[in-house]
Amino acid sequence: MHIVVCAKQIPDPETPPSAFRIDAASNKVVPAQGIAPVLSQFDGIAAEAALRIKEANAGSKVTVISLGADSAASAIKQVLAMGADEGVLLNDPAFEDGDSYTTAKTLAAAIKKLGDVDAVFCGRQAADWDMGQVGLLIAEEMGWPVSIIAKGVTTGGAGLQIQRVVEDGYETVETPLPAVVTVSNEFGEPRYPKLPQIMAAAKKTVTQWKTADLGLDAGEVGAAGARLKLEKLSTPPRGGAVELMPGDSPEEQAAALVAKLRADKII
Amino acid sequence: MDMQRTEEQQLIIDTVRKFIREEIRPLEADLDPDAYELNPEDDERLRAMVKEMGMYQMGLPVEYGGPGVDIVTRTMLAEEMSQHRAGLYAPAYGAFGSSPPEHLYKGTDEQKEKYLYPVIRGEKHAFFGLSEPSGGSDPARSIRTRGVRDGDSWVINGGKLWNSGADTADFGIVYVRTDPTKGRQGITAFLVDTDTPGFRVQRLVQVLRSHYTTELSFTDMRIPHSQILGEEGGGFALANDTLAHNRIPYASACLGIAVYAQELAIEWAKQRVTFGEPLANRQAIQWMLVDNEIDMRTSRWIALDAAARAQRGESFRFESSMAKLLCTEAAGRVIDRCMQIHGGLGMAKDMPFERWYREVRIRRIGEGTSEIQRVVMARDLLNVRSGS
Repeated sequence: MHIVVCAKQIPDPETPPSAFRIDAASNKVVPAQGIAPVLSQFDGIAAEAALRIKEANAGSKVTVISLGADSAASAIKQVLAMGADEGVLLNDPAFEDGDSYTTAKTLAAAIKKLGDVDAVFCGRQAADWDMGQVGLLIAEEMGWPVSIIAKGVTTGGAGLQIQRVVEDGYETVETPLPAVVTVSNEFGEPRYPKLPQIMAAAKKTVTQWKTADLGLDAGEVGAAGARLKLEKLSTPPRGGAVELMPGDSPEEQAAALVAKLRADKII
Repeated sequence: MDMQRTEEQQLIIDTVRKFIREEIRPLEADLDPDAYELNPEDDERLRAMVKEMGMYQMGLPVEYGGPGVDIVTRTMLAEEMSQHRAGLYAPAYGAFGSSPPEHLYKGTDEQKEKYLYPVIRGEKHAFFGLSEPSGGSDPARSIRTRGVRDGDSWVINGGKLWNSGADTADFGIVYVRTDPTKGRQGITAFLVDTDTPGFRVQRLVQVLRSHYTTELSFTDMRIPHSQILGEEGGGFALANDTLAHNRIPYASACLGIAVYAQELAIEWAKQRVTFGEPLANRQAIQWMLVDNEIDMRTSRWIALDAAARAQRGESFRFESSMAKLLCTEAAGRVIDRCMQIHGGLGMAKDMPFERWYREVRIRRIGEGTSEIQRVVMARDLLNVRSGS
């Protein structure tokens, strides 16, 4: 089975709040100095899901694809170090400032170019913008079924058996291949890379594809092709209003808290 | 000179950094502020994880079954592994294992079977016995522990000081004066089992940090001639070689706590408001933070340069002494400034500064004082034997 993992490089979510800055003029996040961007956590989990299937099914292959600038190659290398076989970086100035639609369109073009793909695994959402759209839109572009927010993925039945997280538990669904799956944090932690795989990953060449390599026009990718317009990016105002719950014991304070939450229609 | 990390180095560093932040630091919230070990379950779990990652004993050469990670990468990793509260003396609480004392690679096949391989397997632990109450920086003169040949054995009398772990070790590498007429050529290294009759842990010596060290006494301790490590009279050269090597990661580990302290101080300076302004807006604080950065970046270059020279097989004794001196002193200044920036919180055991402050002070003395490093450098610079 050939699984593609879509991996995004994002600003480190551990960046201290005081180092997080937005450039209001360009509506962009200013990269924090000295804090390297990281692989989106959900994508690391998607990679883990793909690698477990690879290990359970001899002859399987995992290819990691990222859309991003030169630095995104390090996110690809990280997944290669976890055990993925090949990496492709979609790197072209024309891809910049796209939205979920153009990202999915570009990734789908790369998946089509690879040709023999059986499944695409994405994180449930990118941990920076939290849109949660790209996996769904890739499925739309490919015309494949999609199962989102998976806590478990195994081969079986018609293709894949997927445990999907729902509000009050999880449901098990089966999907034929090829298919797209978005993987959630309930799946579990991604593995730490092993030293021999790190050494092998460092030696691997990451393939780079541009707009023309994917058979796309510059007008349908990146900012030119985006359908979503970002009006304004700003940080929420910081501040806190503290209300202490009255009561002489923890029980009385808890009762007061419940009453307050009910009165405010929060519960 | 290109000091850019290779992709391989970056991936290893990223992995170790994640491990320290996600596996080690959270455990410290529940540990005593002075703890130097984890509870046995966590210890076992983390060691197993690291072994699975293929990162246990990273410095162990390939021919002994290790990954043989080079000294430049290990110098970078020493800076990563110490970035937590106990990190200076217990990096990752030992989860990454430690490589055997390098002297053991120079042992005979029998010695390797008896000591080296069991140490690699974690079955035996060693201590290092060089310093004596009469001194440590000048072993050629200060070693008074005396060995006298008697048939196939040596009878050893004397004692050692500052031997960390000697009370729990299975054996030690002990430096003994075997020929008082030959100065530095009269010193021999012996492999001494701690259950040898006449071997005694005289007392546990409490020091600035939470873990103690020991004082040892040897009374008519009979050690077979076959327990000599290296050549008879070759102990001084053996010690010198290893000490120069050890100084580089020793230096770099100091930078790790400085890096973490600086991170905390920058964040605090931005948060803490005094007289209506964040500390970060005060020039007095800004200059402290900038001085920290200058201290860290300059000493890091020197440490990596020393490691790169060692790796290329060039002479690096001067550079390793300079790295040891610069990193330990720079880290001391950084921790001191960060403590000052944190005010009262800097002294509290809720924060790691007070522990680092005590422990980093030892680093200017351990593995050769700042002064002896200058003596070593002066000897090289002036090409004279006696600079002291």
